[in-house]
Amino acid sequence: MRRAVVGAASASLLLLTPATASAHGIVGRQDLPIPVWLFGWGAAVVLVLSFVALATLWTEPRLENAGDRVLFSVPLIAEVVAGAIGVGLFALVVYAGLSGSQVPVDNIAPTAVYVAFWTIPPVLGLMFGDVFAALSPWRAIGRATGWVAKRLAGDSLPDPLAYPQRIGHWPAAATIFAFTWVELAYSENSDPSTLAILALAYMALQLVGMSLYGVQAWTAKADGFGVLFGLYGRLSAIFVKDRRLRIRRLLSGITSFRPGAGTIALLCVAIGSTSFDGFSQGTLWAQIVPHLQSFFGDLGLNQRHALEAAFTVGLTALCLFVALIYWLGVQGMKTVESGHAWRELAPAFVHSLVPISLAYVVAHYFSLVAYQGQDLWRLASDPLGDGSDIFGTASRAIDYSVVGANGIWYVQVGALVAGHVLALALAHDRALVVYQDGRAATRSQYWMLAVMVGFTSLGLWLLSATAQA
Amino acid sequence: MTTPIPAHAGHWFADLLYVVPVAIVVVFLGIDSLRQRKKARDKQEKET
Repeated sequence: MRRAVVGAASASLLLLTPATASAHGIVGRQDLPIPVWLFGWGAAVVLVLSFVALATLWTEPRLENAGDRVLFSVPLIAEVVAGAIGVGLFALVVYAGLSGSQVPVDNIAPTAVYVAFWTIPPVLGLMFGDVFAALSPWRAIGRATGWVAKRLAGDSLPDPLAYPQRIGHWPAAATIFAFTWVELAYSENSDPSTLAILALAYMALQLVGMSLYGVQAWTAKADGFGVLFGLYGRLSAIFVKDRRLRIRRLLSGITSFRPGAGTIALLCVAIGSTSFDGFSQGTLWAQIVPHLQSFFGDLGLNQRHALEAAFTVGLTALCLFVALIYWLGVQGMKTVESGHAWRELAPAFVHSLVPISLAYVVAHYFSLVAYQGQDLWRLASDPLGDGSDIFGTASRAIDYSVVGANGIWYVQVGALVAGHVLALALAHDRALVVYQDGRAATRSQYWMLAVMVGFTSLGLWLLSATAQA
Repeated sequence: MTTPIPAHAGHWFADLLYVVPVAIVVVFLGIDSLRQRKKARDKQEKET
């Protein structure tokens, strides 16, 4: 969305100012009491202390198979209303994209997609459970269609096909990669009509998938946003099951998640793409990208496509880098006690990447939501950019004083550290189950500690590079 | 071809400082691995 703000700017302009063109917002300089890198050291110390505390105080699995209790029933009408709101918002964004002004800052579609849709559901998920499942427009339409079809066809309605296990979460991983590619690499990323068409195409794909494999199976496996936001929702203490609002121990919901093919790829793409979002705004990428662009230019691509290819390489490289860190961590764990293969350990600990992914989202997009999110008030009054003022907020400007540069930095560091401490707790709890013996479990987690320190340092380095740029 | 500019060394050094915590943990892991291997070897020797 950073580029969406200046979205109409040409690819060549992006090349000239790759670091500044996509800044999160003009918030002034940080004035921190200690050097930025020292925060990285401090974060590592916090992680090591947390690790020691877990090893000594957390000697039994506490999250696995933790129970829950019912708070109250959720009426059916609430589900229907939430679904209708989701469908209504989707229709508004698509209509605005197709019929409204094609100037990105005047049209609600780019801000709605990159700020409201992409960054807010993860945080809501942590606080209130899987909110996106209730609001998902394709899920709501799929369920409504299924309900109508069942009424009309009765028992003659054929059962959905069995979802292929070998495909697993790969479609979800591909979806998140494609979305972040559009956001970060595609030169038309903020064109309202392009976004509307892509949204419609995605809706069509979801409806076809749901009609073949059933709403539940498809949204749980193949809908990239549904799966990813659902994983964040599993971290929450609140959740809805069988139309009942329930409460459980924080983080315990993610332990019952059963990973399948493509789950590791999904989370590596989620973390890698957020990392690339930060990395692509730093000075190092600004030095690399002209070389990549000229390489692809030499292969015959025009300037625009060469730049897109360069960003595609960067995005892919960061996703692979995240996968490499995880792979090294699991390979290390294998050396602790014989008899545990990659096939067992890699899926067993992949859930610990979920809080890291969420921490990266909060850290990288906090300033975007804090500033660009305010613009939703203006755009809600004038979604098409045609001069209307529905709620009387069309002239509302962004207040950059709501949070300063230092405040943003502290939130970012806090989110990263908290996310990684939670990840350590999840991995430790799982290690106690996998290794049985507490000593072996702790030793195996030395490797996860290295992974967490690596991800924290990477995250802080990316954020500091963005702030400098 | 990019020529490294000495004045930029400060920036590179600042970037490298982020790697220090990772390096410390990795060195610790290496030492621990060697210690465990030695322990296993000693145990094997005792048994034989």
